[in-house]
Order: sequence, then structure tokens, then C-alpha cells
Amino acid sequence: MTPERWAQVDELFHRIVECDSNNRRALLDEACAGDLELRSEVEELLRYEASAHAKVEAAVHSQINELRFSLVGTVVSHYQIEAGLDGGGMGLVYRAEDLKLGRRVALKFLPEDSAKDPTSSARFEREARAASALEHSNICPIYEFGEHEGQPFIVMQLLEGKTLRELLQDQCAQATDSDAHGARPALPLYQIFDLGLQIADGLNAAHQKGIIHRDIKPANIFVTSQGQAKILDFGLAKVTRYEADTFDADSTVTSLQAPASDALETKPGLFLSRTGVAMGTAGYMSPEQARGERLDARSDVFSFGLVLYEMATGQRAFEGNTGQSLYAAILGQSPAPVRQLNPKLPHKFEIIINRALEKNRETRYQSVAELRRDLETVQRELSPRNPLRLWMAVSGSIAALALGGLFFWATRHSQPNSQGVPELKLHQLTANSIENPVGSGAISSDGRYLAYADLQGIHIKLMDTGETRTVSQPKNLKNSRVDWGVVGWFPDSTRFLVNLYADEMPSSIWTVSVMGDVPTMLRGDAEAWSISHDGSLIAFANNRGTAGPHEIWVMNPNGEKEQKLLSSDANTLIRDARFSPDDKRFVYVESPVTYGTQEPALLSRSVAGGPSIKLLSSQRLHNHLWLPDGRLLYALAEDNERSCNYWTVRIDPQTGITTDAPKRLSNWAGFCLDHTSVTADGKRLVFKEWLDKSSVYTAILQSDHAHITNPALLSLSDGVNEPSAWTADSKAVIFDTDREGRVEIRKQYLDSDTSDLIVRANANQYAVDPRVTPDGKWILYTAGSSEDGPDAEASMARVAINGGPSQTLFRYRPWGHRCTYFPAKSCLFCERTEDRNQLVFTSLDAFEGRGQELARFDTDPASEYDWALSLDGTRIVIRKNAEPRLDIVSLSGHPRQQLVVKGWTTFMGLNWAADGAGIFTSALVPRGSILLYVDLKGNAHSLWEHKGSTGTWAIPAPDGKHLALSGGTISSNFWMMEKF
Amino acid sequence: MHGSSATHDVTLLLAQWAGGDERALDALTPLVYRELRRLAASYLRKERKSHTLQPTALVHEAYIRLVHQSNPKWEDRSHFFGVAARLMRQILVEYARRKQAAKRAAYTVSLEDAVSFERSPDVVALDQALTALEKLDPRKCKAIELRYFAGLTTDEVARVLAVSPVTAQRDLRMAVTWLHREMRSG
Repeated sequence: MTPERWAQVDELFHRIVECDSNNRRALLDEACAGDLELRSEVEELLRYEASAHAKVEAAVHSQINELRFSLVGTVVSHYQIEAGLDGGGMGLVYRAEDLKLGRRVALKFLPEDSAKDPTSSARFEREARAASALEHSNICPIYEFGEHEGQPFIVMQLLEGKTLRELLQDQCAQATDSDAHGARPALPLYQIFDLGLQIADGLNAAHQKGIIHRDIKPANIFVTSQGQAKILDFGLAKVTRYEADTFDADSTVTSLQAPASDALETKPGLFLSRTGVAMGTAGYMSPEQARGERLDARSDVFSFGLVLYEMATGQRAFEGNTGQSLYAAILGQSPAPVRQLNPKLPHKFEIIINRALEKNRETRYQSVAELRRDLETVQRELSPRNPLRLWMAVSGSIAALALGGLFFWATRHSQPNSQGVPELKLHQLTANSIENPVGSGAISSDGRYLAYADLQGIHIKLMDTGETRTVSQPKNLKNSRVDWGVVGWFPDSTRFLVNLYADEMPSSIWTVSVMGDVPTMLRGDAEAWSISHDGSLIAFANNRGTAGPHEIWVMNPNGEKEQKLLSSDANTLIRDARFSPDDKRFVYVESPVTYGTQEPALLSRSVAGGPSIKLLSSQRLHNHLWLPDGRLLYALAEDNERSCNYWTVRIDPQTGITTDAPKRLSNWAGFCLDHTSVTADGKRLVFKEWLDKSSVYTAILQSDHAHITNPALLSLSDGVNEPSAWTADSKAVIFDTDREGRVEIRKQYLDSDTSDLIVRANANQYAVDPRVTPDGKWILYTAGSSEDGPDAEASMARVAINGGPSQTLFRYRPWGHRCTYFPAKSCLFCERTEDRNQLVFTSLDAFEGRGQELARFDTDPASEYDWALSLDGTRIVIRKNAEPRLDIVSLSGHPRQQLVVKGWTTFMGLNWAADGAGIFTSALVPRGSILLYVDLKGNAHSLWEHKGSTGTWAIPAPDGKHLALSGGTISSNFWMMEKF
Repeated sequence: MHGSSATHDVTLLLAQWAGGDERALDALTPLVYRELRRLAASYLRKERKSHTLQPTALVHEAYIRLVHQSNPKWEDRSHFFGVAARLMRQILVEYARRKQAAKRAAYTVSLEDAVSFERSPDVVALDQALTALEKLDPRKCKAIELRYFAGLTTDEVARVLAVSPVTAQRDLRMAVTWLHREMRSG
């Protein structure tokens, strides 16, 4: 570009930007006067103008953050650093995974200077160790102390929530002009007491053990999403050195006073003299602290009083622009009475505060316990018949347990004063049993209704009263087995859209009125994904693709004016179109027809056409939604798909590209998310939480092979527990399991409540299919990476029956392996050829590894196969997909046999009975699965009906009598989340 | 170089540079650069009140440390910012390049990295676009450095560049828009 042209563009750009938007076009026409190049240059710039500042700023800031959190992606000690946490007021904190224990933790680095001073280092260690022994629900536990390149850090519990300081700041931010007298907002009364009592409990527990905090302040009190107060940094305050920092005036200042000493240092030998050592955070110091005197528990009382003061009034009791004026205030001034700032406070509360803030510690509360007692009395007087803590009622404790200790707040209407409730308020909406899991659902735009579908049909739940109505089924469908899928509500909240899935019939789109009338069909042979926010468009797929949709279509709410928005090539599926808040764009998922060949991606595109913009891609992408505030919400699976969490990323509404880095919204474990919907105001979000679980059962097989007795649960953990072998003595079951996101192989004796660890896979690795060698001494298992696709290579590994180090035998493309029972002495494994045209069976030895090829079986490349080795090693049974036909291949030269299981259609699981006279398999039925014993003529005997099951199978013990059974279930229910 | 003599040097060099001695800038740059680098590194480990590393804080702090003046006159500081903003850009870009190279080599990926985002324009792309901008319009490039890399306000940018606030605002608006477009198409 020439300088002249640049000047022209510059000049015109400003004229256009600065003129009224209505006149822009005319001005452009006039100014460019046929100079098309100039015009297109300026027009293009104009398109970027709105988002430019944010974009450039984000580029700089994201780099700065990366610089700040430089350890992300590295391993410190045995902690895999995953991300930096914006722990407002918490210092430099990382989220990390403890590679030894497989749990998530927070890693907090301590200020540089405390490390340099050997005396303070020793003290740090001594004190922090004492403090870490504190075990109290209101103290954040410290797990470990470490040092990384001379930098001390502590490992502590990973908490989800905010510091009290952030909470108070939010309160400030939420304040409106209507606040009387322009007063700063305080926390709601119930919360002042609730948090106050909890903090007092934590402090008191520490004081009982002789440990003083010395730096009680809002930034050191964490309030979890569950509303629990946790005091941070016990034992750390004293060694924390604060530097003079002009830009840090409201937080910390250097004490210019004499060296600090305190109660724990009365022994002369331990007195450590330092100069210029900082003390507690200036704004929350006690007078004795400001004077540099010895500290005791009463100093914490004073600081706690200041915290209570701030919670109750929204203001700090003492403020000063400089350290000196602050000290003067702390030492000499009485803060404004709390009731003057917040008249709603009880008179007695003011008395408590005043007594806590006595300058002379002799006249102050002598202990936190005393203060706590008074606080509790006032709280009780406030609401004599209705203790305030009850507002935090936990309903449905079983569901709460299933969610791994996640519990939720009472609903809004039961607690009028709920504005200060911490983030991610959760509330369970449905309580379906595992026998009837919820399938789909959506909240209405106005938030009044939840429409959801389960095995019994479609239901409409009134959110206010909880009353639920079931929608009548269309008459012609009364006798068929159908599944409904709730898509979403129209913006007027009077109708919603559902998909109908029925056997032997293409899916179709229906509308349902909130009055609960019979659904009416809108369009046949299609599946809807979403409705635009203005209600004018329905995004849907026709059923043209064999593997899934290749086209995105829209139509109007009457099922007319169909228009194709997008189509994909034969190798790519496109689905789940959802509209932007202004309905001008949509996001959709693109995924490969063949799993694993490419990561599924989220893309955005204008409804009017134009290029698709790739936003993100991940194999673990689960669900997405464009929120009314412009953020894109999506769920990502973690821990081998055992957990899902929400993330958000902001999208530029015009360009459809991301404008900031993705943020993690939740920190949940043990369940996944699906079917997310949101109210029109964006305040309430509803999602289906689902959790699949499988357990190991044991039972006794009767000699007629037609019954089992005494089925009993063996495994006791949630998550996956899948049996695959027995020890040679038939006394213990070997199973693989999923614990805290790690796959493990375990052994459990029938008479024991606990299991023994044999193998523990690394993070993102699996170790499955443990089989015991015929001599009973070894376990052969398959190990690989969880990130790999289904046909990827994995390792065959060997481990002793009692555990110990594993040996890798060879790499292969796993299609299972089996071993016989003694006296037969063989194991074999199966591979699928790369062209998927054959299964190849090869003998397997615990030491020699890969042996010679034993058999081949021709396969249909598009189908999946199950197989099992008879326990005498003579025959292999093979089944294609879930079909009733079984092929039996002899390894001893006999001809092949076929048999068809009579009376059932869909199968899973395949194992020979111990005596080789029959086969165990299970039939999948609408309400669960049924374990069958099939004789070699195809006659099936039903052994066990497992309701709500996602499938079961049986592993016979060598004694021919015991069976290990697998039983999988899915529980799923809808939850509502607020404040996200 | 010991602290006090560095202080002396920086103050002197700033004065010389302000007085029109361009060579002073050559001597000044490595001193400021080193201090910024040191500060950036120490920021990684320090507990901070703001907890977001702001270029403003970094540059201001570098100034205070180098010049030992917590309340300097604006005229003195403006020269310093001119140097510091460019150096901040350089530091961040270097760092980003190094990090990208390290990432390619590393086996472990963090949870966030595992999701591959369509790369939003990063600081390296911004740097390239800025280099192009500098050729077209050096003042606008300087304005961007001051605003985004040194974290100055528009008024402060105007003072450093010795232009009116309206001009600074226009410079920034045009430049930032052009950069955004350049990063998108580049």
C-alpha cells in the first residue's frame, strides 16, 4: 500500500466510523466515487472495527497469562500441572493432578522471598507442618509441602467456589443505584451468620491446638460452591513477606515497626529477629500487630471482627491511603457503627462487632469460641423456629451421594433472601430410578416448565410446584415401543418439539402443547435439533445418510419452507445445529463417519451462508449450546469419559470466531452431561446428568444350568467394574475397574469386602481384559492409551497373580484374548486384519508371548465380532454384531458348526460354560437385560433378569459352580443450574 | 552492574535521550530490557494483589526499580515508556515463540491443550502484523505498543507521542482495526 493510499484509507475510515451509522453508505458512495479498491478496503476494516480492541488485547493478555502460569503442562514433583487458576486473592495457584494418588489438587506457590531466608524457610516448614495437621471442615486441608527450583509450594485441596473477598466484590458489582443512601451492599443476613459461624468454627479448632492464623482476611477465606467456608493458609502468614508496592496499596504494606515476635516464640532459642518483616495484611491487622507486638489468638479475634464487619456492611472498618494513615486508624480510631451502615443488622450484632474490635485485647473477646457463642445466640433469636442453617437443606441425599458429594441449595422460592448464594447453584429436577432413566428434556424459555421423556413417555413438570403431567400417546402408537426425544421449546413457552424414534420406522418430528394434548406430527422422516430463539426456524436433519446426517436443513414452525443450509461429504457427518442469540449464525458438530479418523469439531456458520469457522475440536466433546449472553457452552469428557464438565468460550456474534480463551465452568467428577437447555434470560440452565455404572455380582449356577441362586453384589465401588476371570482356586474374581479416573485391575475374594490392587494404569491409559493363565500364576491383560481409536495398537502385558511389576509381551491390534482352565494349558489372542476381513487367532504364552497362528475366520469388514474360547481349548465361538447366529470353529480339526439362539433377538456377552456343553450370553430387552444359558442346539434358558441393565455377561469359575456376573446400569436425571 | 549505578545510568540515559541523544537509547535499551525480563520472571512466582499480570504494573514497576523514583514527573516517564513498550512486546513474543517450540516437543498436554482450538490471533501474529504496520505508519505502531504492551491509557499514549488525545484515539482505532484484519487474513 502506498503512503498516499494509506492516508486515504485512514482518513475515510475515521469519517465513516465517526458518522451516524445511517449515513455511512451514502458517505462511502460519495467518498469512494468509483474507487472500488478504496471502498472494499474501508468496508473490510469496518467489519473488524467492533471486535478489534478485544482481539488485540486478548492476544497480549493470553500471552501474559501464559507467562504467569509458566508451569502449566509440566510435572512438578509428582504433580501434573494442568492449568493456572484465577484464584482471586489466592496468589499463584495451579490446578494439578497428583500422579500418585490420582486426585486433583491445588498447588500454591509461596512468595519468592520467604524461600531465600533460611530461618524463615525452617519456620515455614515447622509451622506449616503443624498447621497441616489441622483437620476441620472449615479449614482447607494442606496435603503436602514441596519445593520446586527453590520455590516452596503447598499442595492443598482443590476447592470450587470463590474467596470471600471476591464474593464481597461481586456483591458490590451487583449493587444498583436504588440502594438506600448509596450504601455499599452487605451480604444477606443469613449468609453473614452462616459464614461467620463456619469461620469461627474453623478458627476455634485451630486455636484449640495453639495455632494462630495471623492473617485472617476475606482473601484467605474461601467459600465453596456448596456454601462451605474454608480458611486458607493456616500457618503460612508469619513467613509471608509483603513488599512495599505502590500499586498494591489496599492489600498489603510493609511494616516499618520493630521485628515481630509472637506467642509461639517464647523460648529464647527460637526467637528469630528479623528486620522489616511484614505482618498480617495491613487492612485487617489488630492494633497489637500494627505495633509489632507479640500475637495471640485474640489478634485473630480482632481480624475476624473486621471480616464480620465487612460482610455486614460491605465496607472495611479501617481504610487508609497510606500505611501510616491505616496504622493510625487501626490504633486510634473507632470504625463507624455497623448499624449506621446497615440498619437491618440486629442491635446485638453491633455489640458483638464492637467487642471483637476492642483496641485493648484484654477487653476484647478472649476467644473465638466466646464470640461464636454470642453470634449463634443472635442468629437463633432472629429466627427462633426456623434455624437459618436449614435454608441450606439437602434434599434427595441419595442423589447427592451419587454425584460424589455434590449437594445443592434449596430452591429460590423457599429462600427469599438468596442473592448471595455462591455460584453454580444446583437443583435436582427429576428423580427417575435406574430402571427408568430419563432420556431427554428441555426447560421452557420462560423457565416455568421442564419437558422430559423417559421410557414411560413425555412428561411436563411445572417448575414452581413440581407437579408433573404425562402427555398422552398418539393412538396409533399405543402398542408400539417408542422413544421420544425432547428437542426444545418454542419461545412463547406454550409448545415444544419432540422427535419420535420407533422400531422399524424412520424418525419424525412432532409438536406437543403445554396443555398436554396428544402430540401432532410436524414432519416425517426427519430429526429436529433445535429451534431458533425467535421461533421462526427449526433446524433438522433428513434421514438420508446411512451412518448419520450429511445435511443441515431449516424449516418454519409449521413444517414449511424447507431450505438446506449445508451438506457434507460422504466421509463427514454434520449434526446438532444450534442458533446464536440473534439467530444469524449457528454452531454445529462435524465428525468423521469412521470413528477416530478425525476429531469431532464444533463449527460456526452464518445462516445466510458463507464459510464455516472451526471453533474447537475434541474427541471428548459432548454437548453444546449458544447461551443468550453470547458464550458458547460445551461439555468435555474427562477421566476416561467418566466425568464431564462445562466449558465456555466467548464467540463474536458477527464473525462467529472465538474471542477469548475457553474457561472451565464446573469441576464435577463422576458423571457426564447431556441435553443442555437454557431459559431465554440465560439465568437457568438445565442438563441431564448421567452416570453409567457396572458392578460385579457373583452367583451359584445350579447343576441343571437353568437357574442361578444367591446373586450377590461383590464390587463396592461406583463406576466401572467388569469381571473377566477367576483365580484357579475359584475363590476370587479378577476384574477391571475405574477409580478416580484411573483404570485398575483388582482381585477380590468372595468372602471379602475389599479388593486387592494388581495393576494401576497411568492417567489416560487403560488396562483391561485380565485373564488368568491356566497355571493360575499370571494375569495377561491388554494395555493401551485411552485416547486411541478402537483399531489402534495396544500392548499385551503380563503381571503376577498377586500384582507387582508388569512386563509388556508384544504390541498388537487387540481383539481380545482368552485362556483355558487347567488341565488344558493354552491361551490365545485374536487380532483383526487391517482390512478387517479376517479374525486371526494366535496362541499366547505368558513368557514366550506371540505363538503360532491357530485359526482364521472371515468377517464382514463393517461388522463387529465377539468370540470366546472353550475352557478346554478345543473350540472358539464367534458372533457377528448382536445377532442370534453363533459360529463354532474347532481348533482340533472338526468341522465348523452353527447354531441360532431361539427366542431372542439382540445379544451381548459371550462365554463358554465351564463344561463346554453350553454358552452364556445375554439378551437385551427394553427394560434391561436377561442372562441366558444356551445349549448347543440353540435352546435358551433365562438365568437372571437384570432390570435397567445396559448388559450383562457371566464368567464361569473353574469349579463349574460359581459365576461372576457383570451388570451395567445407567442412572440419569435432570438438574438445574443457576448463577453460571 | 550493581543496583545503584544502574539507577544512575538509567536516569542519566533517559535525560540524554530526552535531550536528543539517540545513542543514549542504545545504552538504555538493554538495561530496561533486562529489568523487564527479570520482573516478568519474578512475577511468575509472586503473590500479587491484582493476580493478573498487567503490562502496566510491570512497566511501572520496572521504572520505579530502575529510576528509584516512585512519583516521577510525567515527562520523565514518557520516554521510558516509549522504550519499555517496545521491549515488552519483544519479551512476550520471544516467550511465545519459545513456548510454542517447547509445546511441539512435549509429550504431555494439559487438559486445555488437548482441546485444539482454532488458534485465535496470538501475540506472534500480532507482532508480525505490527511489523507490517510500522512500515506503513510508525506512529500508529508506537501507539499500539504503548496502549497494549505498556498498558497506557489513550490520554497517556497521547502524551508520550506528543499528539492530541483525539489523534491518539484515532490512531489507536485505525491501527487496532487494521491489525485485527491483518491477523485474520494473515
